[in-house]
Amino acid sequence: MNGKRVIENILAPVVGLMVFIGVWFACSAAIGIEIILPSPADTVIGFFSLLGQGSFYLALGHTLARALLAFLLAFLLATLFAAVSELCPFFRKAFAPISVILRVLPTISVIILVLIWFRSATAPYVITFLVLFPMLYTTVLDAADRVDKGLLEMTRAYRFSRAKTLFSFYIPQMIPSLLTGASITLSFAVKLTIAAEVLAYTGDSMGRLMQRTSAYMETSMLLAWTIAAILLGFLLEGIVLLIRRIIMRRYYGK
Amino acid sequence: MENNGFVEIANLSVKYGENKVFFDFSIALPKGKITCVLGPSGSGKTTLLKALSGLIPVEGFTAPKTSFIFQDHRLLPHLTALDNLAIVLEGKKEERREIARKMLTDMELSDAISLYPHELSGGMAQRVAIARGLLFDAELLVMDEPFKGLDLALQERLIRYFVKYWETSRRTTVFVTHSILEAILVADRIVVIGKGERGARVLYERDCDLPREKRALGLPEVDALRSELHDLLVTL
Repeated sequence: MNGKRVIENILAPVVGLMVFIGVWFACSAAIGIEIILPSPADTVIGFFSLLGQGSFYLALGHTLARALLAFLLAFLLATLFAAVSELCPFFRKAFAPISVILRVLPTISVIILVLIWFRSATAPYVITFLVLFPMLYTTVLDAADRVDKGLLEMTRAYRFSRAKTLFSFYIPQMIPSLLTGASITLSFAVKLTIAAEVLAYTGDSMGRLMQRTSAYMETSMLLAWTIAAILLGFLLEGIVLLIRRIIMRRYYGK
Repeated sequence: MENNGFVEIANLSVKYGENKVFFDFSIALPKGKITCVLGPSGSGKTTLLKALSGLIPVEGFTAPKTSFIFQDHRLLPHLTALDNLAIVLEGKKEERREIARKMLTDMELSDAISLYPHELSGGMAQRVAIARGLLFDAELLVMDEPFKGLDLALQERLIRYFVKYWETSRRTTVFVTHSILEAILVADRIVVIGKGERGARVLYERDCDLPREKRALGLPEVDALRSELHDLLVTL
């Protein structure tokens, strides 16, 4: 890595992070009340104390499983609906208003309605699914619309069967866009699941434990949980982007 | 459709909206020979190829199984050169790959076998695309200016490769080009099409009997044909 790239890729983000922590530290010192804004040091200490607790891993595992399951279900159904929309223009037009309504529906309305209709253990799945589904449907449909039309014509000229067109053309063509969409949506799924867990009082969850810290006015622990949630989102986004980078380098030379 | 050694295409009609690109268009393609189609831009050359291969809806004509060599290589980016050929074949995967491997080796493309399209030079990728077109088992081979945009030396080399391997199968071929010289070097028959009041029409056709290996600039017959075609095309 040359000097300019080191500055752009490593130094610049580190400087940004340092400025953020500096401002946080200054605000915390100026306020001087830990319950309102604990210092970065207290938060980091709180985060490491979380790492030593078994309940942390249990909650993390449950929240992650809920987020992943809801994401996978939304992704599979969005792909199925997008495929039907591609094949059937009538379905695409008929489903368009439903997709738009689901997309613009205020998240808080979804959460409140689902809390009325479902049990607390189920609600986070349903909320995360309902918010992610229209986003993923649009992502998949957009990826299908943006496939290389010249290559599509080639598959028709060489009489590819439907299955061959799907597996040898559509899926490989769409994977880069889908993985970009998936990386953003996955970290969003974690945020949504935690929010839903908080409001639904879901047991053994990050959301429930975060809510408990606020009840006991343990703000530094709340921020420690927040750091854990951010790291989890980063990790998921990073894994998907890494897979995308490997695929793009290996198969597309980009 | 086939008689007297010709693939006859008659009463072909193609419409884009209200615009009739072809209306009752007829053309005879000599079987087992290369017909080069010349014509000005917008005369419907590419549309003719797409109609012949069934890529666009046409009236009065059922497209036969056709192999298409495009202007750009149109290789699937996630497949190696070998698999880009194997994918257009029928049968078991290993058998298809074996046939594809032999074709690439025969076309002196052994170095490209395990490379992805982005790892190939422009000329190599186009040669792989030509190999794919020749390998695909079809009644008709259509080519849409596959040598366009390449430098002259590469163009000449690719034409030589193409003719050499085309000779092994001698499939009925329609080759659309803008280049008079390309047409003269490759064609058994040259057809010029142009716009008429009711869609495209064949304005000129003639056979090229001179053996291909003898055709070169400076040869009186070649130069005369070149001038004749040039004079015709500038009036269109």
